[in-house]
Amino acid sequence: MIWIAWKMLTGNRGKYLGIILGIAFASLLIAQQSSIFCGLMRLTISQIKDIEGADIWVMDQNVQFIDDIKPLSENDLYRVRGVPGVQWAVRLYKGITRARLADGAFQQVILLGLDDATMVGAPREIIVGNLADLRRPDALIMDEAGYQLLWPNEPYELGKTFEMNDRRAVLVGVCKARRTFQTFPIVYTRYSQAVAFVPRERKVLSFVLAQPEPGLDPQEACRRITEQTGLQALTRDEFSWKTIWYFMRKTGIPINFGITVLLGFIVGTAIAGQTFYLFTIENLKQFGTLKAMGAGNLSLMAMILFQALVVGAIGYGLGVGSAAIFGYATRNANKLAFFMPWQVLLGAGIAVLLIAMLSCLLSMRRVLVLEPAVVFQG
Amino acid sequence: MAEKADAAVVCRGITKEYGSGATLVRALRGVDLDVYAGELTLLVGPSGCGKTTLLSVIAGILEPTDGMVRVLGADLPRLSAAQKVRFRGQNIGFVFQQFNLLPALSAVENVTVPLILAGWPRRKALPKARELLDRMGMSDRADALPSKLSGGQQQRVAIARALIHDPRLLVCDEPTSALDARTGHTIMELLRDVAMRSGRAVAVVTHDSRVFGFGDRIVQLEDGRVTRVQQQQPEYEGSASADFAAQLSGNASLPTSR
Repeated sequence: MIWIAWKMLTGNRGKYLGIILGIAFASLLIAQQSSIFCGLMRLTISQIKDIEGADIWVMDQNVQFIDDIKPLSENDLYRVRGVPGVQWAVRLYKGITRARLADGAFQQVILLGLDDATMVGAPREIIVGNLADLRRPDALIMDEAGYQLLWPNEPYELGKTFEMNDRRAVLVGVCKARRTFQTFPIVYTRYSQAVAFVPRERKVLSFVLAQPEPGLDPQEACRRITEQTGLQALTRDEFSWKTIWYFMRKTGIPINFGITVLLGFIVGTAIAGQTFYLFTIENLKQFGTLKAMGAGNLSLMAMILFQALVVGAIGYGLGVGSAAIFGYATRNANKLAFFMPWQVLLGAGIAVLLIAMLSCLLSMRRVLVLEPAVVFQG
Repeated sequence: MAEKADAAVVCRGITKEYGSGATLVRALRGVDLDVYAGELTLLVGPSGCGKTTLLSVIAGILEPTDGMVRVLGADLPRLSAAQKVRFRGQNIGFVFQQFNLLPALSAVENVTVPLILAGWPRRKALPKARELLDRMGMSDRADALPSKLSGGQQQRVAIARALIHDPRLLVCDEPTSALDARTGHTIMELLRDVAMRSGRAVAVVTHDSRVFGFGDRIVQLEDGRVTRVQQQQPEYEGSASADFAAQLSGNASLPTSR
């Protein structure tokens, strides 16, 4: 029976390809848009991922996401250090400031001030220069995307200068860093230097990075820090999800992408469902013939289900395959956020399965109510 | 004429109504009918007289409104839907006016369908179907798609399909009306041969008066009633030999008419 179903399906090439294309289109749209959405969400937490070396982020109770800076006092750092189970705790400055380039142009940059002594949170990979040079006066290291933005098509050249808060800054290195949601250049410097690159404020400490004692669960350490200091302490993962949920809840990004994904689903269902339905209608006489000759409803349902699953599987493969190729082809494009985790594949798969099942159910209904006597209607 | 055997099909007082109230249509009004094994029974009559409805009732694909239908000893209206499906698959062969071959399957694959429905593996069904097509002079066209066959060849494949699972009753709906006269004769000879040689009961609905001579019995219907039953000596008593088969194969390019 399955063999007959396969032959019937592939025998009508036009419809067969039409259904597959409909499902592939839906699958492509769903997978591609979801991947871009995931890519964008990943951008929002790129700096949490980039700042390695500490398992715990400590911040003001009202901080909602990584760019929502509510400065702490220096005392807070010492209070965190005093919590039992905290092995060490260091400062981190994070803010956005304005850089004035040599040609007079201004550019917003993300400024990260690392603990002077330990450099916790330093860039993972230096492309040009040396991390140790960050200890030199006015020194900073910039991410490669930022360098290319400020000095397009120029080879990496250290010693370039610009101003921040009327203070001279000297480029001593270029590093790799994950692209951020704001897409501004990222500059790393020492904490003591960073506070000089921004206008004077009473409190400037953005975050405290802390590490629990070996063997202590970071979540337990967070609980202790919050209990003892009243500050918000989160593990890296918790802070990442807090940031993602903020963007999900407070921005229109999920709705906008959700609409596109929904459209993909609806259009895919419409195209695939209608074509599959028409395919079944065209074959009603054949189903009637099989019914007259002794095929039961269960067998016919199995045939239709098989046909739907086949076109669903092929369409899904083509769709997510195309989305993956798109992502691969644009992997070096700085402006496109694309990230396809397994959840996207699973989600697109479920959506396609749903499309196939809806198409299948529509068609099954017609076949189930089909009177085999239709075969005698010449 | 074949020696009379027990009736393969016994219908008594069959009525079939469609719709209700003002739109009520009585397609069959108390039909009595016997179809015997080893005989070719023709159901004839003008369009709309109920002959196809009667054939559908005999074949177990349409429920009569009232009356008794006993086919090969089974009381059809009393069978459940699933039993009826199984009964049809095991005991009845179908030949259709428009052949109803599955267009995506080759001739030999089409012939295997009843066996596949009965659960045969394809590797066993295909040789049997090929052998049957060979006996019908269709071996050289066995792998052709139906769209590449003439009307006569398609009907031959359809008959092979109807016979492959060795059914005891063959029901044929206007098997010659989509064919030219010459091919139609060949097909009727084949059906007659099936009835005579294998002792199967063959019921044929037709309004093609040119083939009336092939029937052992002619049952005339008018307005949902049997108006006349004529027992006759068929014009044809021989076998649908290889001559006919070869003739038919050679007629692949003959135009078909309806």
